[in-house]
Amino acid sequence: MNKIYVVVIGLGGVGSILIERLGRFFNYNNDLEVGLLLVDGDEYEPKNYERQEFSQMGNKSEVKATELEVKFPEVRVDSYDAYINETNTAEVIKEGDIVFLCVDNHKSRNIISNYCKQLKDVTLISGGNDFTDGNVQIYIRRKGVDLTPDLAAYHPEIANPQDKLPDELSCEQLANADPQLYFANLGVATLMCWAFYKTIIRGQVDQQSEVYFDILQLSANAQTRIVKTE
Amino acid sequence: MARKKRYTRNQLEAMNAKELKRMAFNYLGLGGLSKKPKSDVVDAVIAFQDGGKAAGIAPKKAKKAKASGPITGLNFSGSSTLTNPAARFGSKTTTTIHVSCGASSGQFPVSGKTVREVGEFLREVLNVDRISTGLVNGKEVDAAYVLKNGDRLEFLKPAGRKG
Repeated sequence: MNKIYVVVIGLGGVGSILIERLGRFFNYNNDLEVGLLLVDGDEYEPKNYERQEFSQMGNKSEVKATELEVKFPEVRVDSYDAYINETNTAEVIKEGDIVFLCVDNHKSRNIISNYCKQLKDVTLISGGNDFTDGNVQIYIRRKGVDLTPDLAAYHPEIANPQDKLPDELSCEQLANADPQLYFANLGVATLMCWAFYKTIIRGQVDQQSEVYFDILQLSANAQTRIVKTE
Repeated sequence: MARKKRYTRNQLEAMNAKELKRMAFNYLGLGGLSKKPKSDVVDAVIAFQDGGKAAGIAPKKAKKAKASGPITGLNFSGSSTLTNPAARFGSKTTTTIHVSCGASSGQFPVSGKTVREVGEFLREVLNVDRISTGLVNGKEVDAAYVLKNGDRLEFLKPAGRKG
């Protein structure tokens, strides 16, 4: 039986959909022994009902960990009640982890991608969306070598983020967050599941390491990304 | 199988230009000569009869395949999509290049154009941002890069921010 440790960072519109799908897959897969860590410093509130499922108010990571332990008893679930930042990333992500990054800002993506570049073995699957479109990136590093480009390599908006971490925002800024479409969150979560299945379960690593989708065009498109040499 | 007649240079030069080009196309199967001067056609036929060793048709056809717009013949390297793969030899065909931006993509007849020109031409079709970086076959290129047959062009789209 293969042991894997999965870290899901961000339990908003994408993350809360994703962990239900991953939890079911892990629970009924006899070839995997899975530890799952849920990370988010945010609280579930009534305004989240539009796009997120949860059984009670409270910290997102703790509420979801409790729910998943009941629904999927074969999966060991832990929670980490904090937003990710430069000082706590090392507590959360360890060598060999499979990380699903479902955050809502490029600054967090920048921090996590840079941290993963310092590890020897890590799989980072990151997703994001705008209102009706989005993308998923797969960053794979083995034995200290990048097999696919890091998140910032082809994305200057991640390399030089202009936004802020959630705990740097004022209450007013948090309350005025851009609207999102549930179906766009669902699209990202689905493509992240596909990325996991392709790379981890099937072991297929190639240059098709980024995929875009657009709901209004009813299309998804995988793109070639070549690792840049310094 | 009957051997084709071999023409001497004197015999070729005795023909008028129209006869010579028609013979080259219909009898020897040499395309792409309709706008060439008579002396070039004579050289091409002689080179063809000599097995293409002399300076003749093959280099000229390869050079023509790089130009934008319709091409004739099939003497080019690299992969391409023909608008009509069943077209007869010598008939006009058009090469297309795969161009994408995010989830949008298509085949477009842009061989010979620069990345900048294609970005301007397809801005609305593919929703290309004015400052998008161009990747050809996965590698970043300058906006002045001239696309050739077999290239795949992508204009980078920013990552989704929310989640």
